[in-house]
Amino acid sequence: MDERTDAQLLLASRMDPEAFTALYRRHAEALLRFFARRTLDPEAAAELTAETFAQAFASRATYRDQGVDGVAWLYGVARHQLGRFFRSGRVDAAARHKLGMPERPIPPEDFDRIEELVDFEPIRKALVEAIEELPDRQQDALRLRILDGNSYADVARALSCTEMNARQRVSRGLRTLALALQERGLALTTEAE
Amino acid sequence: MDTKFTFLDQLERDLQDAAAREQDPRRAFVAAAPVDRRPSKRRTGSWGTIAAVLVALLVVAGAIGGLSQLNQNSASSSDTGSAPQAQATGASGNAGEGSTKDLSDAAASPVPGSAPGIGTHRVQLSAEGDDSFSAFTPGDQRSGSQAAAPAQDLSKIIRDGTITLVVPKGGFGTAFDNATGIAEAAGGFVLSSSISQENQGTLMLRIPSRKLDGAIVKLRSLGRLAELNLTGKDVTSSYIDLKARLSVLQTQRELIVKLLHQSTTVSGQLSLSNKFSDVQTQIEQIQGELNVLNDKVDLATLKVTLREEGVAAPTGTEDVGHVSLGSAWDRAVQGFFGVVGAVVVGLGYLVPLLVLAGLILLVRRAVIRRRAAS
Repeated sequence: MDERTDAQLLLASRMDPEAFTALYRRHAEALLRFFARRTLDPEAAAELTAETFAQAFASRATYRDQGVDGVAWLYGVARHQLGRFFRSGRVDAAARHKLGMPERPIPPEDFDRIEELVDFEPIRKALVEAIEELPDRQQDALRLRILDGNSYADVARALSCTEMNARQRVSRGLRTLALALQERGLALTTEAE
Repeated sequence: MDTKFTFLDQLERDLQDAAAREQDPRRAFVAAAPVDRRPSKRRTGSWGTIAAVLVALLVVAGAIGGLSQLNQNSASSSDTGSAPQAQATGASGNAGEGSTKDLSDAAASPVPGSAPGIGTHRVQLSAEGDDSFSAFTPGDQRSGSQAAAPAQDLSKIIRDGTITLVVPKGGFGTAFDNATGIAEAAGGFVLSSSISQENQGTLMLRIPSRKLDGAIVKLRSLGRLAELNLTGKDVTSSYIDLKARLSVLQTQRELIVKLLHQSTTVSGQLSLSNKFSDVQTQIEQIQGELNVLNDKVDLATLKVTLREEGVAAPTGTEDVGHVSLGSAWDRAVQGFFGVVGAVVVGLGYLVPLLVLAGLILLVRRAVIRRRAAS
Protein backbone atom coordinates (compact mmCIF):
# COMPACT_ATOMS: atom_id res chain seq x y z
CA MET A 1 0.00 0.00 0.00
CA ASP A 2 1.47 3.30 -1.09
CA GLU A 3 1.66 5.73 1.82
CA ARG A 4 1.99 8.84 -0.29
CA THR A 5 -0.85 11.37 -0.48
CA ASP A 6 -2.87 11.82 -3.67
CA ALA A 7 -1.10 15.10 -4.36
CA GLN A 8 2.31 13.43 -3.94
CA LEU A 9 1.27 10.59 -6.22
CA LEU A 10 0.10 13.02 -8.89
CA LEU A 11 3.31 15.03 -8.77
CA ALA A 12 5.44 11.88 -8.77
CA SER A 13 3.50 10.44 -11.72
CA ARG A 14 5.05 13.02 -14.03
CA MET A 15 8.31 11.08 -13.99
CA ASP A 16 7.05 7.77 -12.63
CA PRO A 17 3.81 6.57 -14.27
CA GLU A 18 3.59 3.79 -11.69
CA ALA A 19 2.57 6.45 -9.18
CA PHE A 20 -0.46 7.19 -11.33
CA THR A 21 -1.36 3.51 -11.22
CA ALA A 22 -1.36 3.73 -7.43
CA LEU A 23 -3.68 6.73 -7.62
CA TYR A 24 -5.91 4.81 -10.01
CA ARG A 25 -6.10 1.79 -7.71
CA ARG A 26 -7.01 4.07 -4.85
CA HIS A 27 -9.89 5.88 -6.56
CA ALA A 28 -11.12 3.85 -9.55
CA GLU A 29 -14.04 2.13 -7.83
CA ALA A 30 -15.13 5.27 -6.03
CA LEU A 31 -15.09 7.19 -9.25
CA LEU A 32 -17.07 4.47 -11.00
CA ARG A 33 -19.67 4.68 -8.22
CA PHE A 34 -19.65 8.47 -8.52
CA PHE A 35 -20.54 8.19 -12.19
CA ALA A 36 -22.96 5.28 -11.79
CA ARG A 37 -25.04 7.19 -9.23
CA ARG A 38 -25.22 10.22 -11.43
CA THR A 39 -25.79 8.66 -14.80
CA LEU A 40 -27.71 5.53 -13.68
CA ASP A 41 -26.19 4.04 -16.81
CA PRO A 42 -23.50 1.33 -16.31
CA GLU A 43 -22.10 1.79 -19.78
CA ALA A 44 -21.85 5.57 -19.48
CA ALA A 45 -20.42 5.27 -15.96
CA ALA A 46 -17.68 2.91 -17.09
CA GLU A 47 -16.80 5.01 -20.11
CA LEU A 48 -16.75 8.19 -18.06
CA THR A 49 -14.41 6.53 -15.56
CA ALA A 50 -12.06 5.49 -18.34
CA GLU A 51 -12.14 8.90 -19.98
CA THR A 52 -11.61 10.71 -16.67
CA PHE A 53 -8.52 8.69 -15.80
CA ALA A 54 -7.20 9.05 -19.34
CA GLN A 55 -7.74 12.82 -19.18
CA ALA A 56 -6.14 13.00 -15.74
CA PHE A 57 -3.14 10.98 -16.96
CA ALA A 58 -2.75 13.13 -20.07
CA SER A 59 -2.89 16.39 -18.13
CA ARG A 60 -1.19 15.33 -14.89
CA ALA A 61 1.68 17.71 -15.68
CA THR A 62 -0.70 20.64 -15.22
CA TYR A 63 -1.47 19.69 -11.62
CA ARG A 64 0.03 22.11 -9.11
CA ASP A 65 0.14 21.37 -5.42
CA GLN A 66 -1.37 24.64 -4.30
CA GLY A 67 -3.53 23.38 -1.48
CA VAL A 68 -5.95 21.52 -3.72
CA ASP A 69 -5.90 17.87 -2.82
CA GLY A 70 -5.07 15.41 -5.56
CA VAL A 71 -8.40 13.63 -5.27
CA ALA A 72 -10.26 16.95 -5.51
CA TRP A 73 -8.38 17.66 -8.70
CA LEU A 74 -9.33 14.20 -10.01
CA TYR A 75 -13.01 14.78 -9.19
CA GLY A 76 -12.76 18.18 -10.88
CA VAL A 77 -11.80 16.36 -14.06
CA ALA A 78 -14.65 13.90 -13.43
CA ARG A 79 -17.24 16.68 -13.00
CA HIS A 80 -16.07 18.29 -16.19
CA GLN A 81 -16.56 15.00 -18.04
CA LEU A 82 -19.97 14.51 -16.42
CA GLY A 83 -21.07 18.01 -17.43
CA ARG A 84 -20.08 17.31 -21.01
CA PHE A 85 -21.95 14.02 -20.90
CA PHE A 86 -25.16 15.65 -19.71
CA ARG A 87 -24.84 18.42 -22.30
CA SER A 88 -24.10 16.21 -25.29
CA GLY A 89 -25.68 12.91 -24.22
CA ARG A 90 -22.50 11.03 -25.12
CA VAL A 91 -19.16 10.25 -23.57
CA ASP A 92 -16.17 11.91 -25.11
CA ALA A 93 -13.21 9.69 -26.03
CA ALA A 94 -10.68 12.35 -26.97
CA ALA A 95 -8.28 11.70 -24.09
CA ARG A 96 -8.29 7.93 -24.69
CA HIS A 97 -7.62 8.50 -28.39
CA LYS A 98 -4.83 10.90 -27.56
CA LEU A 99 -3.17 8.23 -25.42
CA GLY A 100 -3.87 5.47 -27.93
CA MET A 101 -6.19 3.70 -25.50
CA PRO A 102 -8.96 1.58 -27.00
CA GLU A 103 -12.64 2.18 -26.27
CA ARG A 104 -13.53 -1.15 -24.74
CA PRO A 105 -17.04 -2.57 -24.41
CA ILE A 106 -18.16 -3.37 -20.87
CA PRO A 107 -18.13 -7.07 -20.06
CA PRO A 108 -21.72 -8.32 -19.39
CA GLU A 109 -20.86 -9.37 -15.84
CA ASP A 110 -19.86 -5.80 -14.98
CA PHE A 111 -23.27 -4.47 -15.93
CA ASP A 112 -24.94 -6.01 -12.88
CA ARG A 113 -22.12 -5.04 -10.55
CA ILE A 114 -22.12 -1.42 -11.63
CA GLU A 115 -25.89 -1.24 -11.18
CA GLU A 116 -25.44 -2.54 -7.68
CA LEU A 117 -23.39 0.55 -6.94
CA VAL A 118 -26.52 2.62 -7.37
CA ASP A 119 -28.80 2.79 -4.39
CA PHE A 120 -32.22 3.53 -5.85
CA GLU A 121 -34.06 3.41 -2.53
CA PRO A 122 -33.84 7.13 -1.58
CA ILE A 123 -35.40 8.22 -4.84
CA ARG A 124 -37.76 5.35 -5.53
CA LYS A 125 -40.85 7.62 -5.59
CA ALA A 126 -39.30 10.12 -8.00
CA LEU A 127 -37.99 7.21 -10.01
CA VAL A 128 -41.45 5.69 -10.43
CA GLU A 129 -42.82 9.04 -11.61
CA ALA A 130 -39.96 9.52 -14.06
CA ILE A 131 -40.35 6.02 -15.44
CA GLU A 132 -43.95 6.84 -16.37
CA GLU A 133 -42.62 9.37 -18.88
CA LEU A 134 -40.41 6.89 -20.71
CA PRO A 135 -41.33 5.08 -23.95
CA ASP A 136 -43.25 1.82 -23.28
CA ARG A 137 -40.42 -0.52 -24.29
CA GLN A 138 -37.94 1.16 -21.95
CA GLN A 139 -40.57 1.38 -19.19
CA ASP A 140 -41.17 -2.36 -19.28
CA ALA A 141 -37.46 -3.11 -19.28
CA LEU A 142 -36.80 -0.78 -16.34
CA ARG A 143 -39.72 -2.06 -14.26
CA LEU A 144 -38.62 -5.66 -14.72
CA ARG A 145 -34.98 -4.91 -13.98
CA ILE A 146 -34.92 -2.07 -11.44
CA LEU A 147 -38.24 -2.26 -9.62
CA ASP A 148 -38.79 -6.03 -9.71
CA GLY A 149 -35.09 -6.89 -9.48
CA ASN A 150 -35.11 -9.53 -12.24
CA SER A 151 -31.90 -10.70 -13.90
CA TYR A 152 -31.21 -9.61 -17.47
CA ALA A 153 -31.90 -13.15 -18.65
CA ASP A 154 -35.39 -12.98 -17.09
CA VAL A 155 -35.99 -9.49 -18.48
CA ALA A 156 -35.03 -10.73 -21.95
CA ARG A 157 -37.39 -13.71 -21.63
CA ALA A 158 -40.26 -11.51 -20.46
CA LEU A 159 -39.75 -9.05 -23.30
CA SER A 160 -39.06 -11.75 -25.90
CA CYS A 161 -35.78 -10.24 -26.92
CA THR A 162 -32.11 -11.04 -26.59
CA GLU A 163 -30.26 -10.36 -23.36
CA MET A 164 -28.12 -7.76 -25.13
CA ASN A 165 -31.27 -6.04 -26.33
CA ALA A 166 -32.67 -6.01 -22.82
CA ARG A 167 -29.46 -4.45 -21.51
CA GLN A 168 -29.64 -1.74 -24.17
CA ARG A 169 -33.26 -0.89 -23.30
CA VAL A 170 -32.47 -0.68 -19.60
CA SER A 171 -29.34 1.32 -20.30
CA ARG A 172 -31.14 3.85 -22.49
CA GLY A 173 -34.00 4.08 -20.02
CA LEU A 174 -31.61 4.74 -17.15
CA ARG A 175 -29.77 7.38 -19.12
CA THR A 176 -33.03 9.19 -19.80
CA LEU A 177 -33.98 8.79 -16.17
CA ALA A 178 -30.70 10.29 -15.02
CA LEU A 179 -31.33 13.36 -17.15
CA ALA A 180 -34.88 13.63 -15.80
CA LEU A 181 -33.65 13.39 -12.21
CA GLN A 182 -30.99 15.99 -12.87
CA GLU A 183 -33.70 18.35 -14.08
CA ARG A 184 -35.69 17.72 -10.89
CA GLY A 185 -32.63 18.43 -8.80
CA LEU A 186 -32.35 14.85 -7.56
CA ALA A 187 -29.03 13.05 -7.75
CA LEU A 188 -28.05 9.71 -6.37
CA THR A 189 -25.17 11.02 -4.35
CA THR A 190 -23.88 10.41 -0.88
CA GLU A 191 -22.37 12.83 1.55
CA ALA A 192 -18.94 11.32 1.05
CA GLU A 193 -18.93 12.36 -2.58
CA MET B 1 -5.38 -4.29 -9.07
CA ASP B 2 -7.89 -7.07 -8.63
CA THR B 3 -11.29 -5.46 -8.31
CA LYS B 4 -14.61 -7.11 -8.76
CA PHE B 5 -14.89 -5.16 -12.04
CA THR B 6 -13.21 -6.76 -15.03
CA PHE B 7 -13.58 -3.45 -16.78
CA LEU B 8 -11.51 -1.57 -14.19
CA ASP B 9 -8.75 -4.18 -14.31
CA GLN B 10 -8.60 -3.86 -18.07
CA LEU B 11 -8.58 -0.08 -17.80
CA GLU B 12 -5.62 -0.25 -15.45
CA ARG B 13 -3.70 -2.31 -18.00
CA ASP B 14 -4.64 0.18 -20.73
CA LEU B 15 -3.36 3.05 -18.60
CA GLN B 16 -0.12 1.18 -17.92
CA ASP B 17 0.30 0.59 -21.64
CA ALA B 18 -0.27 4.28 -22.26
CA ALA B 19 2.35 5.08 -19.64
CA ALA B 20 4.79 2.67 -21.27
CA ARG B 21 4.17 4.27 -24.66
CA GLU B 22 4.86 7.65 -23.13
CA GLN B 23 8.18 6.36 -21.82
CA ASP B 24 9.06 4.78 -25.15
CA PRO B 25 7.36 6.67 -28.02
CA ARG B 26 8.53 4.06 -30.54
CA ARG B 27 5.98 1.65 -29.09
CA ALA B 28 3.22 4.10 -29.76
CA PHE B 29 2.99 3.14 -33.40
CA VAL B 30 2.19 -0.45 -32.52
CA ALA B 31 0.25 0.02 -29.33
CA ALA B 32 -1.80 3.01 -30.39
CA ALA B 33 -3.86 0.88 -32.75
CA PRO B 34 -7.11 0.42 -30.85
CA VAL B 35 -8.61 -3.03 -30.43
CA ASP B 36 -12.19 -1.91 -30.53
CA ARG B 37 -12.73 1.59 -31.65
CA ARG B 38 -16.19 2.79 -32.28
CA PRO B 39 -16.77 5.71 -34.61
CA SER B 40 -16.25 8.88 -32.69
CA LYS B 41 -17.82 12.22 -33.42
CA ARG B 42 -14.80 13.75 -31.79
CA ARG B 43 -12.50 12.22 -34.41
CA THR B 44 -14.76 13.48 -37.15
CA GLY B 45 -14.65 16.83 -35.42
CA SER B 46 -10.87 16.89 -35.35
CA TRP B 47 -10.75 16.03 -39.05
CA GLY B 48 -13.22 18.82 -39.62
CA THR B 49 -10.99 21.16 -37.67
CA ILE B 50 -7.97 20.13 -39.73
CA ALA B 51 -9.95 20.64 -42.94
CA ALA B 52 -11.15 24.04 -41.73
CA VAL B 53 -7.60 25.07 -40.83
CA LEU B 54 -6.36 23.96 -44.26
CA VAL B 55 -9.14 25.85 -46.03
CA ALA B 56 -8.43 28.93 -43.92
CA LEU B 57 -4.73 28.56 -44.76
CA LEU B 58 -5.48 28.36 -48.48
CA VAL B 59 -7.83 31.34 -48.31
CA VAL B 60 -5.20 33.39 -46.49
CA ALA B 61 -2.57 32.23 -48.99
CA GLY B 62 -4.89 33.18 -51.84
CA ALA B 63 -5.49 36.60 -50.34
CA ILE B 64 -1.78 37.21 -49.84
CA GLY B 65 -1.00 35.95 -53.36
CA GLY B 66 -3.77 38.07 -54.82
CA LEU B 67 -2.50 41.15 -53.03
CA SER B 68 1.06 40.52 -54.11
CA GLN B 69 -0.02 40.04 -57.74
CA LEU B 70 -2.10 43.19 -57.51
CA ASN B 71 0.96 45.07 -56.32
CA GLN B 72 3.06 43.58 -59.10
CA ASN B 73 0.49 44.53 -61.70
CA SER B 74 0.29 48.08 -60.47
CA ALA B 75 4.08 48.23 -60.39
CA SER B 76 4.38 46.90 -63.93
CA SER B 77 1.69 49.31 -65.09
CA SER B 78 3.66 52.23 -63.79
CA ASP B 79 6.79 50.81 -65.40
CA THR B 80 5.18 50.54 -68.80
CA GLY B 81 3.70 53.97 -68.40
CA SER B 82 7.10 55.48 -67.81
CA ALA B 83 8.90 53.75 -70.66
CA PRO B 84 6.40 52.52 -73.21
CA GLN B 85 8.76 52.57 -76.16
CA ALA B 86 11.20 50.24 -74.46
CA GLN B 87 8.48 47.79 -73.56
CA ALA B 88 6.34 47.66 -76.59
CA THR B 89 7.76 48.35 -79.97
CA GLY B 90 5.38 50.02 -82.30
CA ALA B 91 3.18 51.01 -79.41
CA SER B 92 4.63 54.45 -79.28
CA GLY B 93 2.12 57.15 -78.78
CA ASN B 94 1.97 60.69 -77.65
CA ALA B 95 -1.13 60.86 -75.60
CA GLY B 96 -2.48 64.23 -74.66
CA GLU B 97 -3.45 65.32 -71.23
CA GLY B 98 -5.83 62.90 -69.58
CA SER B 99 -4.98 60.09 -71.92
CA THR B 100 -4.16 56.60 -70.71
CA LYS B 101 -2.14 53.81 -72.20
CA ASP B 102 -2.33 50.17 -71.34
CA LEU B 103 0.57 48.22 -72.72
CA SER B 104 0.15 45.11 -70.67
CA ASP B 105 1.89 42.03 -72.00
CA ALA B 106 3.62 44.16 -74.57
CA ALA B 107 6.95 43.08 -73.18
CA ALA B 108 6.03 39.51 -74.00
CA SER B 109 5.28 40.31 -77.62
CA PRO B 110 6.52 37.54 -79.85
CA VAL B 111 9.75 38.16 -81.63
CA PRO B 112 9.77 36.75 -85.12
CA GLY B 113 12.09 33.83 -85.32
CA SER B 114 11.94 33.12 -81.61
CA ALA B 115 9.96 30.31 -80.04
CA PRO B 116 6.36 31.00 -80.84
CA GLY B 117 3.71 31.13 -78.17
CA ILE B 118 0.12 32.05 -77.81
CA GLY B 119 -0.42 35.37 -76.21
CA THR B 120 -2.57 38.42 -76.36
CA HIS B 121 -0.96 41.73 -77.01
CA ARG B 122 -2.95 44.82 -76.47
CA VAL B 123 -2.53 48.46 -77.18
CA GLN B 124 -5.11 50.71 -75.72
CA LEU B 125 -5.41 54.42 -76.07
CA SER B 126 -8.21 56.44 -74.64
CA ALA B 127 -8.03 60.12 -75.29
CA GLU B 128 -10.37 63.00 -75.42
CA GLY B 129 -7.75 65.15 -77.09
CA ASP B 130 -6.33 65.16 -80.57
CA ASP B 131 -3.21 63.04 -80.41
CA SER B 132 -0.72 61.82 -82.87
CA PHE B 133 -0.52 58.07 -82.83
CA SER B 134 0.97 55.13 -84.61
CA ALA B 135 -0.14 51.65 -83.76
CA PHE B 136 2.03 48.59 -83.97
CA THR B 137 2.05 46.03 -86.71
CA PRO B 138 3.36 42.49 -86.55
CA GLY B 139 6.37 43.59 -88.50
CA ASP B 140 6.90 46.54 -86.21
CA GLN B 141 7.36 44.19 -83.30
CA ARG B 142 10.99 43.93 -84.25
CA SER B 143 12.69 46.73 -82.46
CA GLY B 144 16.24 48.00 -82.38
CA SER B 145 18.65 45.40 -83.60
CA GLN B 146 15.81 42.97 -84.15
CA ALA B 147 14.24 45.33 -86.67
CA ALA B 148 17.46 45.34 -88.61
CA ALA B 149 17.51 41.54 -88.83
CA PRO B 150 16.31 40.40 -92.24
CA ALA B 151 14.49 37.42 -90.76
CA GLN B 152 11.27 36.47 -92.42
CA ASP B 153 8.21 37.20 -90.30
CA LEU B 154 6.73 33.77 -89.62
CA SER B 155 4.51 34.89 -86.77
CA LYS B 156 0.79 34.54 -87.11
CA ILE B 157 -1.08 37.23 -85.26
CA ILE B 158 -4.79 37.84 -85.25
CA ARG B 159 -5.43 41.53 -84.95
CA ASP B 160 -8.63 43.07 -83.68
CA GLY B 161 -9.50 46.52 -82.60
CA THR B 162 -12.10 49.09 -81.81
CA ILE B 163 -11.94 52.78 -82.55
CA THR B 164 -14.38 55.43 -81.47
CA LEU B 165 -14.40 58.75 -83.26
CA VAL B 166 -16.34 61.90 -82.50
CA VAL B 167 -17.18 63.78 -85.68
CA PRO B 168 -18.34 67.40 -85.98
CA LYS B 169 -22.08 68.08 -85.86
CA GLY B 170 -23.75 67.33 -89.15
CA GLY B 171 -20.73 65.40 -90.38
CA PHE B 172 -21.86 61.91 -89.40
CA GLY B 173 -23.14 60.85 -92.82
CA THR B 174 -20.00 61.95 -94.63
CA ALA B 175 -17.73 60.34 -92.05
CA PHE B 176 -19.68 57.09 -92.26
CA ASP B 177 -19.29 56.98 -96.06
CA ASN B 178 -15.61 57.91 -95.81
CA ALA B 179 -14.99 55.11 -93.32
CA THR B 180 -16.44 52.63 -95.79
CA GLY B 181 -14.26 54.12 -98.51
CA ILE B 182 -11.10 53.85 -96.38
CA ALA B 183 -11.79 50.15 -95.76
CA GLU B 184 -12.29 49.45 -99.45
CA ALA B 185 -9.23 51.49 -100.44
CA ALA B 186 -7.13 49.34 -98.08
CA GLY B 187 -8.40 46.22 -99.81
CA GLY B 188 -10.92 45.41 -97.09
CA PHE B 189 -14.66 45.48 -96.82
CA VAL B 190 -17.51 46.32 -94.49
CA LEU B 191 -18.66 43.19 -92.68
CA SER B 192 -21.65 44.87 -91.08
CA SER B 193 -22.86 48.33 -90.22
CA SER B 194 -25.59 49.92 -88.17
CA ILE B 195 -26.84 53.46 -87.66
CA SER B 196 -28.88 54.67 -84.72
CA GLN B 197 -30.54 58.06 -84.19
CA GLU B 198 -29.04 59.26 -87.49
CA ASN B 199 -26.04 60.72 -85.72
CA GLN B 200 -24.19 57.69 -84.45
CA GLY B 201 -23.38 54.30 -85.90
CA THR B 202 -21.02 51.37 -85.96
CA LEU B 203 -19.12 49.68 -88.78
CA MET B 204 -17.46 46.30 -88.55
CA LEU B 205 -14.55 46.41 -91.00
CA ARG B 206 -12.32 43.60 -92.25
CA ILE B 207 -9.03 45.10 -93.37
CA PRO B 208 -5.81 43.34 -94.47
CA SER B 209 -3.65 43.18 -91.36
CA ARG B 210 -0.67 44.87 -92.98
CA LYS B 211 -2.77 47.82 -93.95
CA LEU B 212 -4.64 48.13 -90.67
CA ASP B 213 -2.42 50.85 -89.24
CA GLY B 214 -2.59 52.96 -92.37
CA ALA B 215 -6.36 52.59 -92.34
CA ILE B 216 -6.52 53.63 -88.69
CA VAL B 217 -4.45 56.74 -89.43
CA LYS B 218 -6.85 57.66 -92.21
CA LEU B 219 -9.88 56.90 -90.04
CA ARG B 220 -8.55 59.19 -87.35
CA SER B 221 -8.66 62.07 -89.79
CA LEU B 222 -12.44 61.72 -89.84
CA GLY B 223 -12.86 63.14 -86.37
CA ARG B 224 -11.57 63.40 -82.87
CA LEU B 225 -10.26 60.14 -81.40
CA ALA B 226 -12.26 59.18 -78.31
CA GLU B 227 -11.06 55.64 -77.81
CA LEU B 228 -8.74 53.19 -79.48
CA ASN B 229 -8.18 49.62 -78.49
CA LEU B 230 -6.04 47.22 -80.51
CA THR B 231 -5.36 43.62 -79.62
CA GLY B 232 -3.04 41.10 -81.20
CA LYS B 233 -3.38 37.40 -80.45
CA ASP B 234 -0.36 35.32 -81.32
CA VAL B 235 -1.53 32.01 -82.81
CA THR B 236 1.81 31.01 -84.28
CA SER B 237 2.15 27.87 -82.18
CA SER B 238 -1.40 26.75 -83.05
CA TYR B 239 -0.68 27.42 -86.70
CA ILE B 240 2.59 25.49 -86.67
CA ASP B 241 0.94 22.65 -84.78
CA LEU B 242 -1.87 22.41 -87.33
CA LYS B 243 0.61 22.53 -90.21
CA ALA B 244 2.68 19.75 -88.65
CA ARG B 245 -0.39 17.58 -88.09
CA LEU B 246 -1.49 18.25 -91.65
CA SER B 247 1.90 17.23 -92.98
CA VAL B 248 1.85 13.97 -91.02
CA LEU B 249 -1.66 13.15 -92.16
CA GLN B 250 -0.80 13.89 -95.77
CA THR B 251 2.15 11.52 -95.55
CA GLN B 252 -0.14 8.91 -94.04
CA ARG B 253 -2.61 9.41 -96.85
CA GLU B 254 0.09 8.87 -99.49
CA LEU B 255 1.22 5.72 -97.74
CA ILE B 256 -2.33 4.39 -97.54
CA VAL B 257 -2.84 5.06 -101.26
CA LYS B 258 0.36 3.15 -102.04
CA LEU B 259 -0.70 0.22 -99.87
CA LEU B 260 -4.15 0.30 -101.42
CA HIS B 261 -2.61 -0.18 -104.85
CA GLN B 262 -0.51 -3.07 -103.59
CA SER B 263 -3.29 -4.81 -101.67
CA THR B 264 -4.71 -7.91 -103.34
CA THR B 265 -7.34 -9.00 -100.82
CA VAL B 266 -10.81 -7.52 -100.49
CA SER B 267 -10.64 -7.32 -96.70
CA GLY B 268 -7.29 -5.53 -96.88
CA GLN B 269 -8.61 -3.05 -99.39
CA LEU B 270 -11.69 -2.44 -97.27
CA SER B 271 -9.62 -1.80 -94.18
CA LEU B 272 -7.25 0.54 -96.01
CA SER B 273 -10.18 2.31 -97.59
CA ASN B 274 -11.67 3.01 -94.16
CA LYS B 275 -8.36 4.32 -92.91
CA PHE B 276 -8.03 6.50 -95.97
CA SER B 277 -11.47 7.92 -95.28
CA ASP B 278 -10.57 8.71 -91.65
CA VAL B 279 -7.31 10.38 -92.59
CA GLN B 280 -8.96 12.35 -95.38
CA THR B 281 -11.61 13.62 -92.98
CA GLN B 282 -8.96 14.73 -90.51
CA ILE B 283 -7.00 16.46 -93.29
CA GLU B 284 -10.10 18.36 -94.33
CA GLN B 285 -10.85 19.38 -90.77
CA ILE B 286 -7.34 20.68 -90.22
CA GLN B 287 -7.34 22.36 -93.59
CA GLY B 288 -10.57 24.08 -92.62
CA GLU B 289 -9.10 25.26 -89.32
CA LEU B 290 -6.02 26.53 -91.12
CA ASN B 291 -8.19 28.40 -93.60
CA VAL B 292 -10.12 30.07 -90.77
CA LEU B 293 -6.86 30.91 -89.00
CA ASN B 294 -5.34 32.31 -92.18
CA ASP B 295 -8.42 34.39 -92.83
CA LYS B 296 -8.32 35.84 -89.32
CA VAL B 297 -4.61 36.53 -89.59
CA ASP B 298 -4.83 38.05 -93.07
CA LEU B 299 -7.83 40.22 -92.32
CA ALA B 300 -7.99 42.25 -89.13
CA THR B 301 -11.38 43.06 -87.66
CA LEU B 302 -11.89 46.67 -86.71
CA LYS B 303 -15.01 47.98 -85.07
CA VAL B 304 -15.45 51.65 -85.85
CA THR B 305 -17.91 53.66 -83.80
CA LEU B 306 -18.79 57.09 -85.08
CA ARG B 307 -20.85 59.62 -83.21
CA GLU B 308 -21.52 63.29 -83.61
CA GLU B 309 -20.29 65.85 -81.17
CA GLY B 310 -22.65 66.13 -78.17
CA VAL B 311 -24.11 62.66 -78.52
CA ALA B 312 -23.68 60.56 -75.41
CA ALA B 313 -21.46 57.53 -75.72
CA PRO B 314 -23.44 54.27 -75.78
CA THR B 315 -23.44 52.27 -72.58
CA GLY B 316 -21.44 49.11 -72.33
CA THR B 317 -24.46 46.83 -72.39
CA GLU B 318 -23.91 45.84 -76.00
CA ASP B 319 -20.39 44.75 -75.19
CA VAL B 320 -21.77 42.43 -72.58
CA GLY B 321 -23.91 40.83 -75.24
CA HIS B 322 -20.83 40.27 -77.38
CA VAL B 323 -19.16 38.05 -74.80
CA SER B 324 -19.04 34.74 -76.59
CA LEU B 325 -19.12 31.37 -74.90
CA GLY B 326 -15.56 30.78 -76.04
CA SER B 327 -14.23 33.96 -74.49
CA ALA B 328 -16.24 33.31 -71.35
CA TRP B 329 -14.56 29.89 -71.09
CA ASP B 330 -11.16 31.47 -71.67
CA ARG B 331 -11.85 33.97 -68.91
CA ALA B 332 -13.02 31.20 -66.59
CA VAL B 333 -9.85 29.16 -67.23
CA GLN B 334 -7.70 32.26 -66.73
CA GLY B 335 -9.58 33.01 -63.54
CA PHE B 336 -9.08 29.46 -62.24
CA PHE B 337 -5.35 29.45 -62.87
CA GLY B 338 -5.16 32.99 -61.54
CA VAL B 339 -6.61 31.87 -58.21
CA VAL B 340 -4.39 28.76 -58.09
CA GLY B 341 -1.38 30.91 -58.88
CA ALA B 342 -2.34 33.38 -56.18
CA VAL B 343 -2.66 30.55 -53.63
CA VAL B 344 0.77 29.17 -54.60
CA VAL B 345 2.34 32.63 -54.32
CA GLY B 346 0.63 33.14 -50.95
CA LEU B 347 1.91 29.78 -49.68
CA GLY B 348 5.39 30.95 -50.57
CA TYR B 349 4.90 33.78 -48.10
CA LEU B 350 3.18 31.62 -45.46
CA VAL B 351 5.43 28.55 -45.37
CA PRO B 352 8.43 30.30 -43.74
CA LEU B 353 6.08 31.84 -41.18
CA LEU B 354 4.51 28.46 -40.42
CA VAL B 355 7.94 26.87 -40.05
CA LEU B 356 8.89 29.65 -37.62
CA ALA B 357 5.66 29.17 -35.67
CA GLY B 358 6.32 25.42 -35.53
CA LEU B 359 9.82 25.98 -34.16
CA ILE B 360 8.48 28.36 -31.51
CA LEU B 361 5.87 25.77 -30.47
CA LEU B 362 8.53 23.05 -30.24
CA VAL B 363 10.75 25.23 -28.07
CA ARG B 364 7.77 26.16 -25.87
CA ARG B 365 6.85 22.50 -25.46
CA ALA B 366 10.41 21.59 -24.56
CA VAL B 367 10.52 24.37 -21.95
CA ILE B 368 7.22 23.23 -20.42
CA ARG B 369 8.45 19.64 -20.23
CA ARG B 370 11.70 20.69 -18.63
CA ARG B 371 9.85 22.76 -16.05
CA ALA B 372 7.50 19.85 -15.34
CA ALA B 373 10.46 17.51 -14.95
CA SER B 374 12.17 19.87 -12.55
